[in-house]
Amino acid sequence: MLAVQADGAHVETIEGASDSGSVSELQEAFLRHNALQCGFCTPGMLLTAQELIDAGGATSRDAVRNYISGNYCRCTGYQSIVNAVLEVAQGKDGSK
Amino acid sequence: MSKPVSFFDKPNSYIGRAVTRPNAKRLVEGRGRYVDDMTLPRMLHAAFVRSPYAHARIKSVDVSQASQAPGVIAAYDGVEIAKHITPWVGVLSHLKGLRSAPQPALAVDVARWQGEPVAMIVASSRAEAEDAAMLVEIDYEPLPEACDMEKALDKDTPVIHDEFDSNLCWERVVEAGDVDACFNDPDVTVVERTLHFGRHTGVTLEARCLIAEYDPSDDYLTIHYSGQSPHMMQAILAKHLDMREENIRFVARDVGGSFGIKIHTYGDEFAVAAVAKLLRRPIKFVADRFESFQSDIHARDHRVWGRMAVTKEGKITALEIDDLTGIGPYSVYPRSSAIECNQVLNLTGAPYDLQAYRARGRVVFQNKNVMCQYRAVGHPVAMAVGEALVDDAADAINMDPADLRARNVVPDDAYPYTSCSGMRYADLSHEQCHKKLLELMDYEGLRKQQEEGRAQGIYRGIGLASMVEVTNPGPLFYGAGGAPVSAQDGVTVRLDPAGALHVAASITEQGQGAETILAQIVADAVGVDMDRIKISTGDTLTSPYGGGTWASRATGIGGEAALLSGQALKAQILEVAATILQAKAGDLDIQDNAVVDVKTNARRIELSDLARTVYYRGNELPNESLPELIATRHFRVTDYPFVFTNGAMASYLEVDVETGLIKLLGHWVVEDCGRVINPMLVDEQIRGGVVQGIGGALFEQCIYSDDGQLLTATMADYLVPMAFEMPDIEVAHVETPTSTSVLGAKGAGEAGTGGAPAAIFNAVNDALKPLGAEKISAQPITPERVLKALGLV
Repeated sequence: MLAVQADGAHVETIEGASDSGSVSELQEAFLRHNALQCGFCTPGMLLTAQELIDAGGATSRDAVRNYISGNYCRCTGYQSIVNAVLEVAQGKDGSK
Repeated sequence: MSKPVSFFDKPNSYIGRAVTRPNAKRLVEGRGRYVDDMTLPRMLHAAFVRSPYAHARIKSVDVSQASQAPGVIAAYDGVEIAKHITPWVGVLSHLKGLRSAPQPALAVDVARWQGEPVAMIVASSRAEAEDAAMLVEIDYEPLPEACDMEKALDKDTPVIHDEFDSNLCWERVVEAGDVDACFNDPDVTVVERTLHFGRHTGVTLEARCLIAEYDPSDDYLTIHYSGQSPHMMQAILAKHLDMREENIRFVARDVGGSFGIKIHTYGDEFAVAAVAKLLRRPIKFVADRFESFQSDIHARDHRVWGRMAVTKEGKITALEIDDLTGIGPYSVYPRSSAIECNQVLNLTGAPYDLQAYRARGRVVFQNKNVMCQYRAVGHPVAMAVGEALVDDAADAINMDPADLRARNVVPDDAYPYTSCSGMRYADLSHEQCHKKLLELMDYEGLRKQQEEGRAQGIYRGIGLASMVEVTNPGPLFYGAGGAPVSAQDGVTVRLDPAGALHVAASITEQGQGAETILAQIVADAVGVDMDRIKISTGDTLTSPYGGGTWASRATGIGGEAALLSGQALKAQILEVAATILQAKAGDLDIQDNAVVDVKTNARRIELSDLARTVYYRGNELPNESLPELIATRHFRVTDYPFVFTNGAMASYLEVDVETGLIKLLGHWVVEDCGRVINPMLVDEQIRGGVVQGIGGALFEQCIYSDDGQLLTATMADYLVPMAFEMPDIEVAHVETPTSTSVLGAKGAGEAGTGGAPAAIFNAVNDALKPLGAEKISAQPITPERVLKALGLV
């Protein structure tokens, strides 16, 4: 999406989502799984993954991998991101 | 092990534990501190006009119209910039015969690759600078280009630099043992293959960027920098801007990926620094993606012919290779563009006990973007060539490729071992890694599954790779060749009145976890909680002097310095405690932020109390007691030129023989990086590395037209691996600590990238074996190449 296409829309950034707590479980899971290294892709990954979780779509590794494709991560190799997203979607605690 | 077991086996030790990264919290909150997040007062923005030709004479550059455009403060051509920045030559004196021409920051007279900066615009905004860039009038006279590396040395190919007689940059030959006798032995079978490795690049998500800020009151230039080696950059910028090193400060905060891309000299960045000084205003430059593809260093671009001799009984006796690599028009400064070829020559076949080895490497100039060190420098090429030949040899003598590896790797009890070509290896574990890999992946089970699949027209392949990697390099790598690249690193640990430890280190953080590793080690070495440790890295003003992060060295070298400085501080603290408590230092220890009695574990004095006594109430101490509570230790690898590590890797994949598409089903890595400081971080380094290796093997390529136009300069054209195509990657370890340090840690950051292409190559060819396909020997292994191998297109 280009910025001009969001004209008039309400935009919530990762800073806003962090303050509101709407992605806090996922943020915790990302830290536990080290699902980020340089952190540059992380805001996009979090917001995309939260959308999938909220829609009830984070049902399998393939479903998560498919949904976050479109967001590049150059550091992690994606596996830890998938693990973090599934953990939150399945309501498990972090003591894997 | 040179250290008593007790230190590393202490209960509640941080070393060896998968602790999370304290500095990752701000990143998940979107509060990272990247260069582009900064806006300085009076800051300007730079944009560059880049050569549209691969090779062209610059007859004139007219910036007059651009200078008048809205928002423009200044515009410069290469001649003007050259008055403020001296050219550089990317050679190392210890690579005999290596040559390159002086490279200006912006092209002067001749542009030598498409994307080379030619003119610079500085304006109030990047948009205005870009608009004005279109008004720069440049009269080019296109010159015949030399793009194809395979023709670079032909007689009728234009020579890129007038001062040289050919496009040869460097050549090296290795000859060890009686190679001809081994290959002519009537009892051996000889296999032969030529492999091609396409160019790819790092695609750091945060592009190259900097803000240069000049303070005329102190003649002081501050560079807010996204990169890996602040002290090296300080030294070379000072040299070419003719400033004193101490008047330049490089400071890197969060870095959005680097992978070797952000450790080289880029003319556009140096021009920004020079002009910030001229204009006395801060200037920001952030490369856009198009510029990144055209000007970030590229990597690989090798053609390697190789042959291997193997006896019927499965003894590999000899290996011969010939590597040709194209590096663009200049050897990159200051690390040179010959290192990758050098590594290919040093490392091909390195896991195996050979009787004879011959290698020739030639590095050639060409009119394409410059090529230089990117993650795993040379390893993906060396491992893919060696491992492809091992698989070919196994086929030729009808032996299982896992068996052939097991019979030929240097045995674990052979160390220290010197190869026939004189490479010295210590503390490696090929046999254990190979064995563990086969168990981890269930090799037998997968072979059975593969057999069953074939009966149903499903073509799956298993690819194995044994690896040797160069980590923790010593001064012979760069410094000995004249580059201002430090092989030693330092760590300072200071106890503050609140009981916190401030740690300043010369290794740098790019997200791989260097700061966490430092905190774990210092916490254990001193005896404090990790959350009382503050780390600072990346700042030439405040950190000890050192090399930074590259060549898988941060943990091995910086970690050792951290351990030694932590232990030194602890000794100081105990000395003070002994004075205060009227005890013997030897009867005291530090645990959980307090000095304790060794025998009873009773808490005697909190570290915060001790520090406050020293800093605020010195009157309570004897006059001769002047404690420092700060310690710095440096470390470099001695005795060996670098610390070799090893590992073994496997890929399992399925090839759709109608479409040529490859589906990755599984990937396994067993790595021996010595002592594991943080199993989670090291595993994630390996996984991320594997995916970058897979990118090169299957997807990524900088494709040029015959006349040197980059055809893949957008993310739509250049394929970076995404989540859906990637497999889960299982990682396991064998831990053989290096005897070169107390900590025993070797590097691990490049292992995945180094080995993955070898495993993928072998797996694809294994999958296609029953179809009588020609062996695929070029990466990226695109569907087209698969279909060609099958004779379908």
